[in-house]
Order: sequence, then C-alpha cells, then structure tokens
Amino acid sequence: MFFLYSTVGLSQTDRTVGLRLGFDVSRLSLYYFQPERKALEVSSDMEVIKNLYPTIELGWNNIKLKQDSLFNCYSNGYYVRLGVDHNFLKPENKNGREMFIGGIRYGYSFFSDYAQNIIIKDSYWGDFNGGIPKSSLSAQWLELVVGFRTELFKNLFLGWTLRGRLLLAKSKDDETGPYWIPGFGKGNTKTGIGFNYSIFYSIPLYKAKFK
Amino acid sequence: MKSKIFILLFILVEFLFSCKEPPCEQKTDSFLQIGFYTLNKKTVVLTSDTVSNIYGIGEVGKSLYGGDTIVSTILIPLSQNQNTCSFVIKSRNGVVDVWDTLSVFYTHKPQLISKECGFATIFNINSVKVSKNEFDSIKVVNSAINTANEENIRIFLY
Repeated sequence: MFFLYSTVGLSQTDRTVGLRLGFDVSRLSLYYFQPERKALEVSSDMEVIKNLYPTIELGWNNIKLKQDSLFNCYSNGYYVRLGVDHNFLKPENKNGREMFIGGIRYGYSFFSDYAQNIIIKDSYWGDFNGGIPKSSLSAQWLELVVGFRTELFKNLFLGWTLRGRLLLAKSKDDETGPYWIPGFGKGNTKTGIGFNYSIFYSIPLYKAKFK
Repeated sequence: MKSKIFILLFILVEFLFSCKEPPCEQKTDSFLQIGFYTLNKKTVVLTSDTVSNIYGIGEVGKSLYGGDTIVSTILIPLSQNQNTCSFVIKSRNGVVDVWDTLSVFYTHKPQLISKECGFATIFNINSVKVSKNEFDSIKVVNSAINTANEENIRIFLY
C-alpha cells in the first residue's frame, strides 16, 4: 500500500477540474433487501488542491418497522457529512481519473422516531401495551473513509467507499438510544461501519495546473 | 478496465448479500437479579438461601420459586405496567419459615432491540426496601435492568 502514498516528486500536471456529483445506488438495493427502510444519498466533491477533494454528502433515511400485533415503529431523518478525501494514486493520464481515496468526515443527523401498538409479553404480571411518543433527536459522529473510484466513460465515474464510524454525541434525553441514526446506523452502539456504492458525473469547470 | 468493473461489481454483490438481518438471537427478557450475601469479617461472600416461596404481591397463586430451593441468585420479573413491585420471600431457616417483603421502585421504558427480536423493557431502579426478618440489609449494585441480566441487588443475610 505504501507505494500509493508516493506522490512526491510528480511533475507539474494539467488537469481538468470538475464538480463531481454523486448518487449512492446502494441505497436503492435497500428497497429489495430491507423493504421497511428507504434511503437516499447524494454527494459532491471537487479537487481544489492537488489530490485533495473537499466533500459534502447529504442523505435521507426513513424506517417503518411493523410486526403484526407486536409493534409499529417509525423513524425519519436527514444527515449531512462534511469532509475531505485524499487521492493516493498517481494520475494515469492528465486528468487523473483513477482514485484510491482515504478521507475523513464529520457527520450530523437530525431525526425523529416514535412507536405505536407495542406489545411486550409477560406471562407473570401481564403484557405491556403502549407506545413511545414522537421525539426529535440529533447525533454527531466522525468517519474514516477508504475507497476506490474509476472513470467508466468520459466524466462518468463509479466507485465504492468503506467507512468506519465513531459516535461523538447523541441526544441526552434518550437514555437507551434511538434504534437507527440516519447516516450513522444502529443507535445502540458507539461504532459502526458503512458502505457506499455510487455513480458520479463530473461537470468539467476549468483547467488547472497542480504542482 | 474490465477487471476494475469486475472488482466493483464483486464488492457490490458482497454488500447486497450481507444486508439481510439475522434472525433474533438476543435475549428479550429483562429480569431483576438478586444475589444473597453474608458479611464475613467485612468481606462480602456470596452465600445461599433456602427459598420456600417467592411471589409477587397481587399474584399470590403464581409462585416464582418454591419447594425449599437452595439459591445464591434469583431472577424475578418486574411489572411493565407499574413503577413499584413488591414480593413476598419465604425462607426456610432451619425448621422455621421466615417471611420477608421486598419492594422495588423503578422507572421503565420499551426499547427496540431489532425488527426480528421486537421490543424489550428496560428498567431503572430508583430505590429498594426490604423487611428484616431473615435479611440484614439490602444494596443496589446496578440500577439498570436490561436483557444482559446482570446482578442488580445484593441482599445480606444475618
């Protein structure tokens, strides 16, 4: 892996700088594998300094969990991740279209959840039958990102990222934690992993010389 | 280029097949766990009690433990519809039955474990009280009662 870090000594390079817009297609697969969950995520990045790509990711997550005669549970919320990626690959051509990236993100999520018709069986004292009122919650976390991105056709990219997440804070009024934190994952743990598989289109903006 | 596409698709397929939630393999019952102890020269020693009967007040006919069972720890359920539960603990001291009453004051809330496991109730003990016939004292060592079922209360015998 260390050869990937060896970008020192490259000669001055002309590259087309573009605003890259991404859509996470892995979220669409959730409709099939987790029909109770709907999610969307879009992203944007641009090379402003040689091999450095400030990045913004925006997403939405909606969960409707239903188990007949046991519970109905709802969660809905949005998130934003801000960070920067570094491309460790030497450009194969003047546009540097192959990327092996490592990056960091700060994530913030605001969401609400509630539950209805909860039944918890108890053969001794009697079943619990109730709900959880709607509450507005938030959470913050950090992510480390690694991934790969390649240009399939001119300005059209495909790539994946693998993410390790560390929860920094979540709403204190919720002692046991929400079931799901949009953009982070399960709310009962302080760490998590994530995966994105995105398609990107890069809007060419201008030529730049990166030293 | 083809190899890159293959790698990208391979990872996608791997990801898709890892998306399914496993079936419920977690405990979903939260019990109050009580340990019986003695103080031996200021050293806390786990001991045992001979329990003839334990039942919740209001549930006289429904015994949780019985038949002179020798126990070091017991697991008993708290009501999810109240914030107080009291139990009668009948111990066998030699040939004599000794009756005590344990009261537990708590808050509780349902927590979603997973779609497959459903909800479990999480309790938090505010205070406890016990009569002192067979028992000397009582101490809360862990106020959180959850599906991990760890020791919550220590009852010290004379």
